[in-house]
Amino acid sequence: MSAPANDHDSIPAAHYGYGRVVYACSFLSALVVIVGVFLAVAFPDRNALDPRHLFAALWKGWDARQIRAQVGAGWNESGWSPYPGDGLIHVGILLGAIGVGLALFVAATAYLQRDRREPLWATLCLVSALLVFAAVASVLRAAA
Amino acid sequence: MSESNLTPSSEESGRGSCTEMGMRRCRSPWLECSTLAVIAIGVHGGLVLVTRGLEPLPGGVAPFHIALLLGGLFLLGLLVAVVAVISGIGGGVIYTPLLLAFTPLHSVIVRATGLCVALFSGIVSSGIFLSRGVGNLKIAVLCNLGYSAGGFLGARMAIHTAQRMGERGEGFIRITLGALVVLLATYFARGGLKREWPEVRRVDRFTVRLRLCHPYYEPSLGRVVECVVTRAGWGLAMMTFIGFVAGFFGLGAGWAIVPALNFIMGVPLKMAAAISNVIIGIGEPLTIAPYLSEGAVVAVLVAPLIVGHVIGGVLGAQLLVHVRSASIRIALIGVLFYTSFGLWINGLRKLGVLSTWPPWLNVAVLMVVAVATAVAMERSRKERRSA
Repeated sequence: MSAPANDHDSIPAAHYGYGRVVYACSFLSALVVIVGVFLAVAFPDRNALDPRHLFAALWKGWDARQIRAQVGAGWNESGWSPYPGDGLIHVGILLGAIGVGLALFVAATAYLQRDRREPLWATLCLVSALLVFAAVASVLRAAA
Repeated sequence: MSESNLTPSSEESGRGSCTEMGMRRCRSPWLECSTLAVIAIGVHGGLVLVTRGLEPLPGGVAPFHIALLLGGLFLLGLLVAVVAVISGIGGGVIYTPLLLAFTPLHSVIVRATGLCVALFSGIVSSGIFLSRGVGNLKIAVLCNLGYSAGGFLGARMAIHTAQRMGERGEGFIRITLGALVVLLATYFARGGLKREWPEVRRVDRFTVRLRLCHPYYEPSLGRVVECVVTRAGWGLAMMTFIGFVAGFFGLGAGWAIVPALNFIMGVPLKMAAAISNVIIGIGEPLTIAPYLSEGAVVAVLVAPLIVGHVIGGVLGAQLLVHVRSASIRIALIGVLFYTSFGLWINGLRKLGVLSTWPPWLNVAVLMVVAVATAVAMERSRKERRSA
């Protein structure tokens, strides 16, 4: 570590933008997830995996495919539930991931600001964001 | 939040900006944290009331028991997140071994759960750190390229191994993870490798070209410091390996990322802890994707842990200044040692090496670990007093 500077440098815009977006998205997705929990348990018939049978299957040590085959009435071949209970929880989890991608886009934009342009870091942020969105898309495509 | 060796001080996490206690409670992060906590408690309490008296289906679990279990998982998530922040030992490192050691759940499902928890604990804390000026997004984005690639490969490998090896694979993963957890507990017990302000004597050309560092305000010093880092290429390579281990075992990887950043790249300790959360937050979506596509993320199981972690992560940062972290850290190390024992026993059973294991031996081992933990806590207390 070299000698400290004299002035209080402001927080980089990319950091601030990333931090705010990702923090807000984590709370938003937690909120969606908790609503999903309520719907999943209060209306167990409206889930891809009925929790009453799901927990019995989990306790038997079954893997995901066995559980889908035995418990998943109306479940397609993917890991995605189209039902309001556990489906909403999946949406919440993906929302967290999408938040990270959005935050990286915000950071990339900040790195392209006119006064402190850093194209390398804007590109790397975009690449990371695209990787996150590709991951989300792969999950959604598997569900389609 | 939890996947770090350091957490933001009270000032960094929003306390310092308000003088009045009442005012403080009405501002971020208290406002959103308490709102979410009230909703979560209301939902879990409501579920217990709604499901009371409902009969179970044949061969199924009673809804009332499910509501109690989910409420318990929420409280567990909250507790682990708070304790993980205070002790500086990550939450993902605690869940995955615990669930694999003491429950019959399938290892791929447990690993997916551990990664989901690590993702949310990473994003909520990286939000706090970066928006308050602690951490470095450039280092995180660079290291993430290796971490997420390794994590994706590790996750694919985990699913492939589980499908190919069946029950033997379940035993193998538990025994390997048991060995890893012993190493980790020993590492934590010895205080971990850390240098608060590493001295960087020479910076390689690749790192210079990247222009990774910028001055940042360090509240503990009360001034702006100029950090210098080096060996970015080696750091990137190491992150690929760490990501692979994290993706394969379903662990959050703060325990490995922080020392790698600190020792290999010369990143100051506090900044390394913040960066590790950002790396986990960015890298984990790619790591979880194979598990999600496989259907291994059991939504109802993961959900209460996620909510508990989001609230507990923020709460832990606020409580950090009021509690003695050393005692909690020692207690958690004891938990890790006992968990590794559970992993080995469970693993040997799955491999068919051990057919029966008397319950009294479990209790005896638990007692030995508890006594050793109590002695270590007492010794630490005496050392603190004499210091």
